[in-house]
Amino acid sequence: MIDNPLLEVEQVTKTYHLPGQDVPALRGVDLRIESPGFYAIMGPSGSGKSTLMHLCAAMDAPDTGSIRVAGTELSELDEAGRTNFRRRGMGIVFQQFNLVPTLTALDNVALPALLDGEAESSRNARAMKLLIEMGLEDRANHRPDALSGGERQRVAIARSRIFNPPVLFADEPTGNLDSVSGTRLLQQLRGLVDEGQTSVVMVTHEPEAAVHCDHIFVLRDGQFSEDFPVEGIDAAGVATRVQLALG
Amino acid sequence: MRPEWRLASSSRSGRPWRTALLLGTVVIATTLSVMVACGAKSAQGAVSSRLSDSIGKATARVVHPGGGRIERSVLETVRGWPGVAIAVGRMDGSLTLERADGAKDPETQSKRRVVVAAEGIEIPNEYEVRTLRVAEGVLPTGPSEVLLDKLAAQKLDAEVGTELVIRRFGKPIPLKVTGIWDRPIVGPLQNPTAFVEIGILGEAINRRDGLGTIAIVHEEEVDVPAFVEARSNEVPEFLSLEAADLVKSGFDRRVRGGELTTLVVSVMTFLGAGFIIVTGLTTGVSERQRELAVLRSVGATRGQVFRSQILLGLWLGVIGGLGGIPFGLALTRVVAEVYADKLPDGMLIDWPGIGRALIGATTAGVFGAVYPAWLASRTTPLDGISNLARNNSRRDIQGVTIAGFLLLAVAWGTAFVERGESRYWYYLYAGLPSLLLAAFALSVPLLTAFAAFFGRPVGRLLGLPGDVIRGTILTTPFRHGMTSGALMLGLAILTSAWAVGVATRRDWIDRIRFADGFAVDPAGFNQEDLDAVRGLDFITDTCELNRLPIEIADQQVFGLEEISSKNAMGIGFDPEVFFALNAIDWTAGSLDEALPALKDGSGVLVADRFQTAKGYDVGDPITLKVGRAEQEFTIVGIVSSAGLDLATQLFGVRDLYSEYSVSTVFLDRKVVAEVFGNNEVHLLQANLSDGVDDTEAERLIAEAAPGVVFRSGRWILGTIDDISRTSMAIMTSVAFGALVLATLATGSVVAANLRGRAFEYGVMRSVGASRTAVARIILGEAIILSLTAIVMGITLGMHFANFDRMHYAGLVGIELRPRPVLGPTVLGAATTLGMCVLASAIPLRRLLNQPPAVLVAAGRNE
Repeated sequence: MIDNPLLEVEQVTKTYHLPGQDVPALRGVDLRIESPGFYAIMGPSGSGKSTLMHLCAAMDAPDTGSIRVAGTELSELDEAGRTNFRRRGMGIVFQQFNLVPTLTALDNVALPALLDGEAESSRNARAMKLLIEMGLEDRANHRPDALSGGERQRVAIARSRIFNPPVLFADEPTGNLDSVSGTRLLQQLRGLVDEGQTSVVMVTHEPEAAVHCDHIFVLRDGQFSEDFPVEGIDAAGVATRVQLALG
Repeated sequence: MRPEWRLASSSRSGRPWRTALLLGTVVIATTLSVMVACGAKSAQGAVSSRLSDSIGKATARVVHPGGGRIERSVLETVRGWPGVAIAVGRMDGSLTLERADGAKDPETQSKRRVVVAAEGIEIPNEYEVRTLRVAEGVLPTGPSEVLLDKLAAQKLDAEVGTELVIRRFGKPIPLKVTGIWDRPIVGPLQNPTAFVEIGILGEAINRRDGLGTIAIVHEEEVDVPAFVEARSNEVPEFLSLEAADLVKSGFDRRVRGGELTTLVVSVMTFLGAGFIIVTGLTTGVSERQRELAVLRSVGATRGQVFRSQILLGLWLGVIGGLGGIPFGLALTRVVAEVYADKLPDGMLIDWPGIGRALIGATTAGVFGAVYPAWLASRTTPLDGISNLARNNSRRDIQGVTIAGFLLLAVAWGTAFVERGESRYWYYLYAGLPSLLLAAFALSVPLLTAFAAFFGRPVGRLLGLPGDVIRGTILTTPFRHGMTSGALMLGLAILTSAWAVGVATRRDWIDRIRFADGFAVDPAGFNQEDLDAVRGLDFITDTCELNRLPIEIADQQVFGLEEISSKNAMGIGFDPEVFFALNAIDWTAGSLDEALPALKDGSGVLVADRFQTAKGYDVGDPITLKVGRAEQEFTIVGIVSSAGLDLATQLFGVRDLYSEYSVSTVFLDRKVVAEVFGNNEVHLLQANLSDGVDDTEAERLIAEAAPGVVFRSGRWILGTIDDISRTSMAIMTSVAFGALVLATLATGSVVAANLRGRAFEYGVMRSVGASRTAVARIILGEAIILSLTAIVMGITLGMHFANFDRMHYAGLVGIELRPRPVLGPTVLGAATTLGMCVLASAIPLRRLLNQPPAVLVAAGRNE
């Protein structure tokens, strides 16, 4: 368990400079998530939710403001520090799975440990344990192109947990999955949170996905407009609340 | 390095075909390099070997101009000089050999006996100086052994092991035949010859006290002409120390020029391979953008990504290099078999060349990986999320154009470096790489320009709308430009090889031009024989030469009178005919200025080394004396003739004039007759009509003038021409190999391009574009690529040829005038186009077989 707030975002701005125009994605966002749990960030396309996720995952840097993830102030990290943070300080899961196509499922899971210089036997043992937890032990030696979408995403989740980070960032993790696979995946994420193994901050625009979370933050035009707990609300209720928040 | 190595491994195993193509590129480059190195060594070796067989490896010699004996103590003195690797004494003489068992000729019933021209040699030292090949048996190892040539063996009906005796006044000397000399074919030399130990020859001819000549082989780094100049005063006054004419003939420098070509081709091939790897790996990096971004997003450092690419390049270089060596050796073996008649020594392995090939391959791999590694390390984690291509800006193209011209300036800087070694090394390590880099860099703006100018007409020709071709090419100008760069290499090698090869044959062979044949009568021609030979219908032009020992009467130049020999050799000739038959190099003076003075008897020519040794120059007076006759002349030219030096040595007629060319004075034969009373003709140079071959000419001359020996001049030119053709054949093979190499690169890039643009093609197909429309777009791109490659290839090839010209002039002393050779250039251009289309066809076929939905899905990375 962690002593620091899980996520602190203060006055973060980010503008994309495209040819002929500047597109502001985040306009002074503030977000504070104190305790571990399963959180959703929702909002329409272009609201800046993916941008915020990338900034929190140290994949990009904000123009202004500060971001602290489990006590780590990202703006204070240099290139090496940011790389190390991505490797060990958090986990990330993408909509497109983003597995390395030339590596097996086992090697994909062990990849961050490989990059960390960990011995093969040790990293493979840990990776295998995670694959077993995800129910993929019989798929360990398959390459991504031989796995279904759900299996690929579970491999991606296993990879994100190889260093047992305090938080997983998931960007539309069910966006490329059918409803059955998507539901199973969300249940597994829920299970990880309930078992206290990690916290999850998930970007989604699907109310059906968001209902698995503890709390929802609604982002509109680069700023949070509302947040509310999910307990007792179904998917339709979530949709209504979000719709209201977006005006 | 383990994570990097693992990433590199997954990268190469994940795309086996791409890896195989790049590996194939390095293998072919190494194969070509090994083939060129070993092929050139074999070809040069064949020439050196033939010359060495004929005239030995001696770089200098001590001779007695008057034909007298040399004291043995001189040999010891020479051996003591620093810089002399080996010095051997030799002696000539005639021996009568007879079968020891008294065997008789069954036809004549006379004893098997033959008079041979015997060479007395130091055993075994002589074998270090001259390669004596045996057709059967072994070389003599002691004083009681003899080596016979085939003719002597035939006349004696002798074979290895036959016992002989030397007949002489006194007790016969027993000899045993140990081997039959595989005499070099140098025209119909028909004197039976034998080699015996020098002491035995001395005993047999009662000349135990002296030597005929001393042959010297210098250590490699010694500057022979400078050595000769410095030491010439240390031999007794009546002897002459002179550089062997092999050096002067330029042949060893020609070999040096060949080594330069080999190095240049190797460097070119590997730079080409390097660029193909750059293109291939860069393409790979572009394709793997998402994968690299994923690596970065899960914690790969920039360094790890960079090193993984470098390791991939290193792997390609080392494995490709090791793989290419056996292929190179095997192909050289094939070439050696094909040209077996021209390469009597077969294939020679150039181990340093193989080492260079392996180093070159490894360097090419690493060098080729640097840019893509840098590019890959710049990948940010977000690059995996965005599918937007990074288009090259106009500024990028301007940048690469400026870089190209700067590199070109570095290459052209070669012309400003002092001639000789410095220029050679500058070119090899700075000029040549810069030139190639410049060509690759400039291929980008050139392709851009060609796409702009020709895109529309080519599109129209193929029935495509508007600016489709231009647009598709300009989407990735760097990748397409580099592909043109890879494509141009083969054509550049082909253009350069033929331009230089044809120029070498034309200009060098022209420089060593001499008569088609030499008719020799050792006793001097009588008028009847002269008329008979001249009267033969196949003899077209003739030039009579005579010689006479001459003395320089007023030698006062530079106070050298006391230490320099007064003896010289006078050669009488008919100037106009002589100059028509022989190519003469004028160190000072000119034919036009010299001819009138030669004809009116007031002028003489002197050999160029005469100038060095005695300090004479054009315009100086020189008084020549034969007996009591004495006359003053003016030196009107300083000359040399590489061709005559070579020919006269090969045909053993050197004592007639060339052997002593260090102190040779050329003057009109009429003057020799009028002033010095010598009207003998010792040598008749003759041109032959094309219809008669050498054997026939020899037979007809022998019939017309018994006792006159004919020696072919066409043989040596034919041999050199042969070798030149062989070298060109090898270089042409290399050029076509480079074209295949380029095809692999093109195939690789086109495949990657098609894959990268699958989405675009998928969308086009989805909205109604036919399969053939896509095919025509690819074909149009291939045409523009090829046009760029053809223009760049021919330009680069002529650049190489021009640099070769510069080096031949500086190092070899031969002024070549390379010009493009139409046939091979057109063939090469057509092959380039064909290969490019072929390389595009295979990946295109795969693309066309995919349904639009699959293409669209592939483009979205689904």
